[in-house]
Amino acid sequence: MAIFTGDNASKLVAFSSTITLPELSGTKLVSFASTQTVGALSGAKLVSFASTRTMGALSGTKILSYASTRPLAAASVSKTVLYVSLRAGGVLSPPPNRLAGAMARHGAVGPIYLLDVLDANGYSYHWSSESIPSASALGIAPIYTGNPPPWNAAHLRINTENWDNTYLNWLLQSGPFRLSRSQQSDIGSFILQNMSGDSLKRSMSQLISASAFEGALFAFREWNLDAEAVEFEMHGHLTVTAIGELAEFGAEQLFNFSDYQGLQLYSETCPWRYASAACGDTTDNPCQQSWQTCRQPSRFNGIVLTQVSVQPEATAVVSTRDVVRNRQV
Amino acid sequence: MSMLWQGGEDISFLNGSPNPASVVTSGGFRSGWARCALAPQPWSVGTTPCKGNRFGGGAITSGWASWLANVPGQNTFQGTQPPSLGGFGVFSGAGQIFLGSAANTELGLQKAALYKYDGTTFTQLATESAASLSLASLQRFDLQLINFGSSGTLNLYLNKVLIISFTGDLTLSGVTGFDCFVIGPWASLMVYGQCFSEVMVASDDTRTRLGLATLAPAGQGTTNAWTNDAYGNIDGVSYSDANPTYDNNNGDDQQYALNSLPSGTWNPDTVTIAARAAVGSGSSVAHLELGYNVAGTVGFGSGATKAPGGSYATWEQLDLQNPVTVAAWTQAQINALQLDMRALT
Repeated sequence: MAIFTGDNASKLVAFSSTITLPELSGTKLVSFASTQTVGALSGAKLVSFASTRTMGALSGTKILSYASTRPLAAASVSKTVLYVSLRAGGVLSPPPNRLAGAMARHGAVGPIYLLDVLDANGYSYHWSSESIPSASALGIAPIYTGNPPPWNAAHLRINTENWDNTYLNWLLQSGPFRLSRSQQSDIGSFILQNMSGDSLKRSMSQLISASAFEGALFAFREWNLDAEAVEFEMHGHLTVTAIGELAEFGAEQLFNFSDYQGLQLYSETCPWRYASAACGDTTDNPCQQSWQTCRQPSRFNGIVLTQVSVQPEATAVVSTRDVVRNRQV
Repeated sequence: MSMLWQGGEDISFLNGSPNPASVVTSGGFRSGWARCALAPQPWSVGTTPCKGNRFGGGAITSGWASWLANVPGQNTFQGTQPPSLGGFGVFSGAGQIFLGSAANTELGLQKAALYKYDGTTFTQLATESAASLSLASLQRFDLQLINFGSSGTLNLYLNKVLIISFTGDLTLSGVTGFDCFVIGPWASLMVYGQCFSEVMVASDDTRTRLGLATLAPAGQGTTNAWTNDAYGNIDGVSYSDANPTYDNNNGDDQQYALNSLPSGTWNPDTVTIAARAAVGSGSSVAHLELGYNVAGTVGFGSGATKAPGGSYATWEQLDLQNPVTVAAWTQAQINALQLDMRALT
C-alpha cells in the first residue's frame, strides 16, 4: 500500500514534529531517488521521488513526521459529528398500549360515561351511564369525593362510607361537546333522569332545589372498561339549564373570560361565600346571605332596603340559577 | 415541509475567508447541546462572510433559519457596513438577506434591523422600534423568508417573539434564491465573546424545534475495520486533517458510538452526519457511505454514498427518517445510535 501517491516527482514535503506512521513499518513504500539517511529527513526538505525504492530503515523506527495534510491513498475521514435537531417530547403522552389496543378492537366492551360533581357545599354526586355499585371493583376512582347530600339519608340511604364508590345510572346523555383550542370556552351538556322520586317531588328536582349545582365542579370521563383507562376527560363547572322529566346541565370549562364582570353588582344578597376570608365568620353556622342572618354585619356586602316589596304568592319562585348560596337543607 | 440544513461546528462553515474559530468559552453556547460556538473572524480587507455548507436540496425562496448568537456589543459597523448577525446567503455569490443592528450608536446597536446586500450596496429594509437586542448575551433568532422577490416578506423572531415583520422589495441583482446560511464578518472589536451556534434551516417553522444537539464520536463502535480508528483521531472540536482514520477496502465499515443528547424528553426531528473526508488518488476505493448502526442493523439513507475528491472537504448526509426503520427517529434510537462509515469502490 502506498501512502503518498502521485509523489513520484519532486515534492516539497514539510516535516515538523515527529509522529509515528505505523503503516510504514513492514510495508516499503516511499522511495527516494538518492540515498538519504532517515535522520536527514527531519525539517522541511526537498525530497525527490523517482523510482521505487524500499525504506527498510524505516520499519520499526518511528521517524518520518509530516505537517502536510495530503490525503492518504484511501478513503480518509479527519472529523465527523452528528447533528440532531430536537422537538419537545413527552408533551402529548401516547395512550397506554392496553388502551390503544382496546380502542382499536372491533366488538370490544363499549365505553361507559362517568360524571363526578362536587358542589359548593362539599356534597359529591356520582352518576354514570350504567349502575356501578362498586366503582373500585371496576378499577374506577372518583375524581371528586365529598359528603353525601342530606337527601341521601332520606331516600337512597347509601352508606356514607360507600357514597363516593357508587355511581347512579342517571346519566342519560353526555354531550355534545364543543372543544376549542382558543379563548373560546369548551362547552358541553349532560342530561340526567328526573323520573324517580316520591309523590311530592322528583329526585333531581329535590337535589337541585336543596343543593348548589350552579357552578358546581364536574369531571366527565369516557371510561374504557376493557382497558380500565379513560378515553376522554373534561373538567369544568355546571349550570342548570332545564328541569322537567329530564334534568339538563350545561357544562363549561373553568376559565371563561365572558363570565367576568367589570362592575360589581350590589343587591340585598351578600355575595361572600360563607366563612370565606371576606366573610370572616367563624361560628360554623351558615347564614342565608341576608342582612338579617348575617353574623358579621360589618362585612356584609349587600345593600339594606327598608322598603319591602311583597310579591303575590302565585309568582313566588325559588331561583336555582342566579346566586350560588350556602344553604342549610 | 422539513429540515433543509443544520450545522454548528467548524466543518460545516469552512466556506468563507478566513474560517470561523471554535469558541469553547462558557456562556457562548448551550452546554449539553453543543461543544462549542463559532466566531466569525474580525473584519479586515479581504474578509468574506462565514458561510455554511450549501443546502442539499438547492436554493430556496421561502424558508426559515434559526440560530443562537451572542450579539456584538460595540463598534459593530465597519464604516457603513453593518455586521451580519445571520441570514440567508448565496453560496457562490455575495447576495444575502440578513439581520444586523439598526445604527452604529449605543441605542442603535440594540435595535434589530433587516438588510439586503447585493455585493455592493447594503439596503436597510426594516428596523424595530424597540431595542430588543441584549448585548453580549446568548439569544435565539428565527428568520422567516416568504416569497423572495419584489413583494416578499421577512419575519424576525427574537427568542420566538416577533420583533420585525417586513413586506416589500427583497430583490437582489442576479439572485434567484438562497442556498446557504451566512453570518459575519464582524468588526474587529466584536469578535471577543461574540459567536453563534445551533444553526437550522427548514422549509417549515423552525420555532417548533427547541435546538440542535451536536453528538461527537465517544468510542469505537461494534465494527471497526478501518485503520487508525481511535475515536479521538476524529472527534476534535476544531478539525485537523493530520491524523485521519482511513480504509482502502471495499465494504469495510467503521462505526463509532456517540455522546449523549441533552437531558430531557425529545422527539428527534432530523439527523445530519457531517464528515470531513477525502479519497486520495490511486485509492482502491472511490466512495464513502455515511450511515448508521441502529441496534445492530446498518442502514444508509438516500444519497448516502459520497464521492470525496483528493482534498479534504465536508460531506453531509441529512436523514429526515431513520433509514433502518423507515420511520421518524426516536429518542431511544438516537441514544443507542452508532455512526457508520463505509468505504466503497
